[in-house]
Amino acid sequence: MQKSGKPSLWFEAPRFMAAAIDTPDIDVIPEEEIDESLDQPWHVIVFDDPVNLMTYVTLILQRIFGYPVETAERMMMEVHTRGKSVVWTGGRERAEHYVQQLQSSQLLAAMRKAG
Amino acid sequence: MTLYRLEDGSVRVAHLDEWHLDTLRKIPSLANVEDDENARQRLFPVPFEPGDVSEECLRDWDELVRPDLERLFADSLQRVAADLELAVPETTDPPVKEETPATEGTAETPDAKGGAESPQARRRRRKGPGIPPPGKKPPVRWSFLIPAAHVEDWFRAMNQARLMLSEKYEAHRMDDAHIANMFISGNMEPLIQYELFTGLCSWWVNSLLTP
Repeated sequence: MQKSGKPSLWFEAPRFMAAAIDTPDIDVIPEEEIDESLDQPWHVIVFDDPVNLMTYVTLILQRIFGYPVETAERMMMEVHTRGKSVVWTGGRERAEHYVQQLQSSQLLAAMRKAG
Repeated sequence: MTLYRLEDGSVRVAHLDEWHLDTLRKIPSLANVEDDENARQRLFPVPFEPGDVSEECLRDWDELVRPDLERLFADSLQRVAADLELAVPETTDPPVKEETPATEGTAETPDAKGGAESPQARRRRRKGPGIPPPGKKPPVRWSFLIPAAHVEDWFRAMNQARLMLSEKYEAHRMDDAHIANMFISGNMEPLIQYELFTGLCSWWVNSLLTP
């Protein structure tokens, strides 16, 4: 390292390069555009319907969420007796994915903000 | 109608009479949601609670997710229709007997023969009324195969038909008043179709879908 004298050419960045470093290519998202709902937990809810078989609802809850049969049966019974059951709670993207899977199995399903 | 679960996961539907085959062939039209907004609402319910998300989110769902669901259901109905196209008449029916069915005291009966009657022969003799009259052919029975890859499609299609029958005719209602109304109005067929599909769906869940 040089202690004094003229600085090395290596450290003299050309003007065009300096300008490029000063203004990096980063998109700044305005705060008001950030969707806070993505951070909030969401409930996935299955609603009762008079058509789908109880055994089928149990099977679908096992398939989609990987629940043991006891848990799936308990949720199915809650759907049957109370009209609906919260079957999963978590991030919004996964909740959307689960609702899509439940609807593709022809169950009445929706999601809502938790709390 | 008899259902056989085969080792490779496919299902052989056999001994179908004309009415059963015809009813299965109606599945795609019974499951159709095009002309009924309530039916569409049931099959494609709003996925969010009111007020939880913006209009844009609902629009995104309608544009990105709903078409996938529609395609999934439509593909299942097409596969069901294609499988039914391959239904063939069965050739395993016993040959038609041209002579008069055996009755007691004739040479066909064990008494006249003096020997013991086999169980099959006894059953055949007791089923007298089921034997077609001389010269009349027995009703044609049909069979077809559901490939293993179409088993889920069949459940989805039959269940969709049940959902639509329920939406349009309240076919799930089994109370006396409703049944009586349907009977009086000469519209029992949706209830019978619904019951048939319910029985089949139940068998599907218990025998095919549950691991």
